[in-house]
Parts: sequence; C-alpha cells; structure tokens
Amino acid sequence: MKATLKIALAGVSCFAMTQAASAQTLDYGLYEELFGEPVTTSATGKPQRKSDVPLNMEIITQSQIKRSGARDIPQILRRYAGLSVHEFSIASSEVGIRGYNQPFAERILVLVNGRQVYLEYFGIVIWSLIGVELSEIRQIEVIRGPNTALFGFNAVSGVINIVTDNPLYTQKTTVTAGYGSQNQRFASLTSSFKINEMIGVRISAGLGGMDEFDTQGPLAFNRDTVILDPRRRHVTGEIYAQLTDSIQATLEGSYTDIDQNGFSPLRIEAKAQSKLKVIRARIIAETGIGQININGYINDTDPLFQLPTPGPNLNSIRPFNKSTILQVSDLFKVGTNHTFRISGEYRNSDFQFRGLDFSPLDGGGDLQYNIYSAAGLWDWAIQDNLTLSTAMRYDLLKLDRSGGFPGGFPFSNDDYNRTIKEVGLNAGLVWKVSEEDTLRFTIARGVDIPSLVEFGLVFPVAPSPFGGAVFVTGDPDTNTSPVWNYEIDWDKRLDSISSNMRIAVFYQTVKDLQAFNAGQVIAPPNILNLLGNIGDSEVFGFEVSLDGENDDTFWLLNYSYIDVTDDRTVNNGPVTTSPYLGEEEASTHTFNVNVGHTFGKFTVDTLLHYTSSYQTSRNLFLPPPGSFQRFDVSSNFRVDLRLAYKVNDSVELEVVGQSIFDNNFFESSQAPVQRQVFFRIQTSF
Amino acid sequence: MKISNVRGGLLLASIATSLVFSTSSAYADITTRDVQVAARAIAFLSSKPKGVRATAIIYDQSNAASKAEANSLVKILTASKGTGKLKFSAPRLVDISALETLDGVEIAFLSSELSSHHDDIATAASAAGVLTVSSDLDCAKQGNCVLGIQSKPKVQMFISKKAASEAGKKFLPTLLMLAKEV
Repeated sequence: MKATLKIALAGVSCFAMTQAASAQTLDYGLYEELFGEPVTTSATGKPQRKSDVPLNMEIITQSQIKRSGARDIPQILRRYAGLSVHEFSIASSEVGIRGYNQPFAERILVLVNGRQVYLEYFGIVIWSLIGVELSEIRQIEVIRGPNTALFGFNAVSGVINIVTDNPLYTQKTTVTAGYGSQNQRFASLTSSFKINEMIGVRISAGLGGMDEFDTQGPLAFNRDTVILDPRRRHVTGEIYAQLTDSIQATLEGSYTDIDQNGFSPLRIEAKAQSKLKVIRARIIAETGIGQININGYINDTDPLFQLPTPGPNLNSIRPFNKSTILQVSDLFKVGTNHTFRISGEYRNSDFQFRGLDFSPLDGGGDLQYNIYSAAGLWDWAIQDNLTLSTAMRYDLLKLDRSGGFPGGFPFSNDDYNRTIKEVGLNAGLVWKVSEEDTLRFTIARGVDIPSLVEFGLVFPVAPSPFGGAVFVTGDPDTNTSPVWNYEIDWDKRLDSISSNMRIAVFYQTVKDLQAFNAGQVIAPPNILNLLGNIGDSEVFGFEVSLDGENDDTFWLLNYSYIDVTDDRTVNNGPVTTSPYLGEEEASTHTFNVNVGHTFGKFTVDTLLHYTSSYQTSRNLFLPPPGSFQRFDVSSNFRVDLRLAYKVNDSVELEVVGQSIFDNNFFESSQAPVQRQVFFRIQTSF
Repeated sequence: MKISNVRGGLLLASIATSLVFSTSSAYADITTRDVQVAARAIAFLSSKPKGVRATAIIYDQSNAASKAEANSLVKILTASKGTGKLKFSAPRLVDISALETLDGVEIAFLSSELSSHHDDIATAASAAGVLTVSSDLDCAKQGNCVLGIQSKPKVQMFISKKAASEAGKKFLPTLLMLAKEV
C-alpha cells in the first residue's frame, strides 16, 4: 500500500512538473474549432469533448440560441428531448427534465459559468432573475439525469449550465432592442472587450417590460391580485485578469430586479418581486500539483411574494435568503490514462422569514444550514475507445433554527438541530464502438434535500375554525429524497445525411418524495398543513433525437416518452389534498420538429412542438382546508416561427411569432397562454 | 475477475458490435482539413509558436505512393494559411535515407508507407527537436510521432507523451485532457 501511494504521488509530481504553466479558463470557441464539436467541463469537471462525456448531455450553441428566436431561456429549452416547459404567465415558466415538472420544482440545478443561480430558500429557479442576456451566452449545457456527485444537492433531474463569452478570448458588443404584442418592450447591451493583453471585461445590461396575458382562466386567475405589467432590470460586470502565465482571476458583480407573476407550489398565483445581488471571485492556477480552482460567491436574495388567500386579500411573505459558497478543487493527471479531480465545498445558507413590513412573521424564525462537502472524480482511459468515469461526493448538512413559534406549535428549535449525511455517485462507461458509434452506460445516485422553506416555513394561509390560523408549515423531520438513475445511450454519426442521432433509454427511482400538505396536525387554535414526505416514484422513458446541418439548412427532430408511476400517501382518494401530481402531471409523449433554412439574406426557422395531455391542479381554498381541484390540460400543437433578414454583417432584423396558430391554450391551471409576436433588431460589432 | 477474462470479454463484444456498427481503417492520406487541425493543435504548445515555422515532409522516394502523397502535401502546405498566428513555411522534402537533414526543421509531416521506418524517424526527430505529425494514428500510439491526427469522419487527435518529451515539446494541459494522450 505504501509503495503504491509513493508511486502515485511520484506520478502526480512528475506529471505536474513537466506541464507548462498556463492557467486559463476554457477557451470554448478555440477548442470547438479544433475538434469540430463543442467542449465542456460540466460533465465531470475536466475539459471534455461533447462526444466523450460520460452522461447524457446536450450543448446548445450560440447559433442555435439565436435561431430559436426566443426571448428567454425556457423557450430555448422547450425544443430539446426530455425537457418540458410550462408557461404560467407571460414572464414566468417552469422547466422540468424527464417529468416532475411542477411549480417551484427544486430538482434542476441551474448555473451561470459554474455559479449556481437557483435560490436555496425554495430550491427554485426564477429564470428571469438569472443575471444574463441571451446575446452573451456562448452555450447552454443541459445534463439529463442526476449529477449530485459533481454539483451537490438538488442536481437530481438534471443540470443546466449557462456559459457566457469570455472577454480574454472573445471580443464582441451586441445591442438588441425589440417590441411586440402584449406591449412587450425590451433592450439589452452586452459587451466583452480587452483593456490590454492581460485584462478583459464583460458587461451586460438589460431591461424589459410587458403586459400580463389578458386572459381569464377558468379557475379564477384573479387579475385583481396579480402584477399587470411585469418588468425586469439587470446589470452584470465581470473582470478577467491573466495575472501571470500560471494564474487567471475573475471578479463579478451582478444585480437583477424583477416584478412578475409566478405560480406558487400552493397552486395559486403569486406576485413575485425579487432582487438578487451576486458577488463572485475566482482564481485558476496551474501549479506543481495540478490545476487549482478556487471559487467563492454570495447570492443575496430579497424576495417578496404576495398570495391571494381567504381572510386578508393578499398574504405577504419576505423569505430573505443569503447563501455563501466557497469551492476548491484540484484537477490533475497521473500518467496518460488517469485524470483525478478532488474538491471541497463549504456552503452557508440562511433564511429569514419576514412580513411585508420586514417584521418577523407571526412565529416566523430564522433558519440556516451549513453544508460541508468533499468529492472525488477518477477518469480512466482504459483503452483508446473505452473510458470509465467515477465520481463520488459526501455532503454533511447541519441545520439550525432560532426565533419563536405561534402559540401551541408542536415544534421547538431543538427539533431543527439536525445533521444530514448523504453520498452522491455518478459512474459512466463510454465505449466508442466505431468512429460513428458511441455507447454510454451510466448509473447515478442523486439527492434532493428539503429546501429551507420545506424545513422551516411558518406561513398562515387562512383562519382556522378554532380562532387561530391554518399554517403551511415545514417539517424539520422531512427526509431527503434519494434518486437512482440507470441509463443506456447510443450516439451515432450519420455522415450520409450530415446528422447526429441519439437514442436514450432510462429508468429512475425516487424515494421519499417531498411535497406540501403531506400531512395535517390539529393543534388548537391552529391547524398545520405539513410539508413532508409522501411516498415513492419511478419513471421509465426513452428519447430519440436527430440533429444536423449543412450550408443552408438546420434541423432538430426529437421524440420523448416518459411513464411516471407514483406509490404515494396523498391524492389517492376523491379529494386532492396535496399539490403533488407526479404521474398525472407528466406529459407522456412530446415531439419537436425544428427546421431552419437560409436563402440569401433571409433565414426562416420553424418549430412544431407537441405535448400530450396531462393533469394538473389549482388551489381554490375549497373545504377541507388546503384541497385542490384537478384540471385537465389538453394535448397541444404549438408552432413558433422566426423570420430574419441580414441587413449586413453587423445588423439583423427579426420577426418572431410564438404559438402563431393557437391563442389561449393551457400549459398550467393558471392563465391560458397567448400568441405572441415581436420584432427585434440586433447589431453586433 | 481476471484481467485476461475482462479483455477477452471486451474482444468478443468488439467482434459482436462490429457486426452491427460500421468501422473504418486507422490510416488515411493527409487532407487539407488534417493540416488545419494540426496547425491549431500546434498553436497549443506551451511555447505558443507564432509566425512562419520551418516545415518538412518526410517520405520514401523509392515508394511511388509515398512520393505521390508527399507531392500532394507540398501543395496543401504551400496553400495552407495556418491558424492566422502560426504558418507553415514552404515545406522541404526529406527522404527517409537523409533524416540527418532534419536539423533546423520545427515541424515535419509524415507521408504514407513509412510504418517500417517509424523508429528511425522517431530517433532522428527527437534528436533534432522536431514535432512530427502523421495521419497514421498508430505512429503516435506507438510513441514514434508526437501528433497523430485524422479529421474525418470526426477529429481524432493522439499525442504521444514519450515522443513529445523526447522532442522537447510541451502542450497545454487543457489540450492534453481533450485529446488522447498516449
């Protein structure tokens, strides 16, 4: 054992000492040009070609983003296999990967340049709060399936990493402006430039506004209690500095401010006004022991949610949340066939529950957790055409609460002093059977932990018959939800039609699902509807996709099938008491046909998108307290169209129509979605 | 489980899947695209070479196929624009009987039909500090060439750690992780 360790250490030092000192972030454009395909670090933490990654990954390029004509990220994602997008209002959508798409779904981890943008107080992603403009996105990396071993908790359905232009490698300025139906108006400026050979700067800013859909849903989407003119403002600045040949550093600050309507997990609309402030510093250094990455950031969220509930017309809640994250990793090779990455992470997230006037809510306390993590990756090139990647991560979470409770509450602060230990695993075997064919066999264990809200929310929603209140309440004893995913993928290059084909078959199990209204406690004068565990679930599915392009034409076709089966303790009878409807809310069949063609200065891109029917629900505050009415969403064909005219190399005009043949159709039990048409002018130089 | 059993299982699986999946050969004539890929890869040397680099083509003048490909390579390299910052000089032809004349050459492309001479080429190239490039991927896999490149049907790049070290060439770590280091 000692001899083996000495040899291993000698191998590391030999490797490190012979390597050139040149630390840099990944120059995506240069390597994509070299290898003829996108490259990424999101799969394992080491740079890899898309065809080499040991899991199911989609990389959406800058060109594909532009051709989508989309105004926001969810509308880009809609057209890819395994992804579902439910539009709840004109400014907000929920995205799911392989099922379980529901309001405030906490199963997808979303990052910008490796920095998480999902909000820990609820484990959610508010897409318009992400501090990025479409024109500065280099690529969007979508991982289907768990990747807890690399990214930590809640990367259970998948991971979406948004990569922006790096000013040290790409210098470009883009100005965009547009106007359209529903009084949509938007403008953005993105610029990445170099001050000198050593320093680059990225700035981006955007603002926009629109009128909410003027439709009235059948289940009383109440236009008197929503924001009628959603808006968004954002600014980000980032400095990249090549301090020495061996060290590169970045410093980023970002601010985003939104007013919009969302769909709360209680299945009622909510005014969602949020401000997000971010500061981040990162150092990459090439050393004698490998490439060291140090990454630290603070996400400071100042949200205000206002929900229409019986009793007061609007119930207001400010879940202040500040998350501090510090990550350190070391990436190195031993010999020619073995790559290792070891990493550690510390995370602190605190949650302060306040009312509209910033005072503590009745009985609301302060909750926080500290998470200590250690992870390792081993990538073994067994043969030229056979690679095995194995990653494991250990997380230790310590939960803590301070503050009071409403009278008669059955919990004390001691109940929140919990320690949770979990292990995440990702293993993938990539077999290049031939130059055209690649098989991937993957197994993954992910973990979905309760959010800070799910642990410790104390939220009055209605008066109780005992003179107190009905509270929606977190449960400190909620179990984490382990997810196992088993998958086989077949990638095939079809040179005769300039296309790539993928077939993926997967099976996934989820234990101890978490949901609102998992149980009820009568504690006079109050009634507590508890967040908690509601049973198990499994999903089987397959995806087939074909994409390709030649000089003038681009195509993307895919079909997805999923079958979700729940074994749950709620919603098995005539009354729907919990908002969770996993198997009912999954759309079994989805297909996309996305074709584009350029002729002269004109480009036409079309998307035909189909989802089969599913069932969702809405909270009407019907008795018994906290019950929901089910709502059928019909199958839907949706056609989007983009027509672009290239005035010259710098200027392009577009007209985009979303759902051009269908107006007032449902993707949720909230307001029906309306047709949208907008014009956009973009200039790049 | 014994390693021999694992390897045997893999061999049987390879035979079975070759009946289903298409295969292709390990060698192809160097194309313009290959030269472009080579130029981009060479730009990732830690020395960050720029400008015109002294280039040669190693061939066997007694072999008609090797000579024909060498002539084709001359045309490709002469027309090549490199990467923008790195360019190839008008290439010098070097017969395998005159490898000692590689002195002063920085980059050498190997013509076809040279597999029986790979050892000699490796010895001469390492002594002269020459970065050798071949579309015969086995040349790099066996440690006789620094770079093995094929660009069709997809880019394959093999970097021999042994040959690179002996020639005094160091590539950036990121490229070594993206290519196949052997």
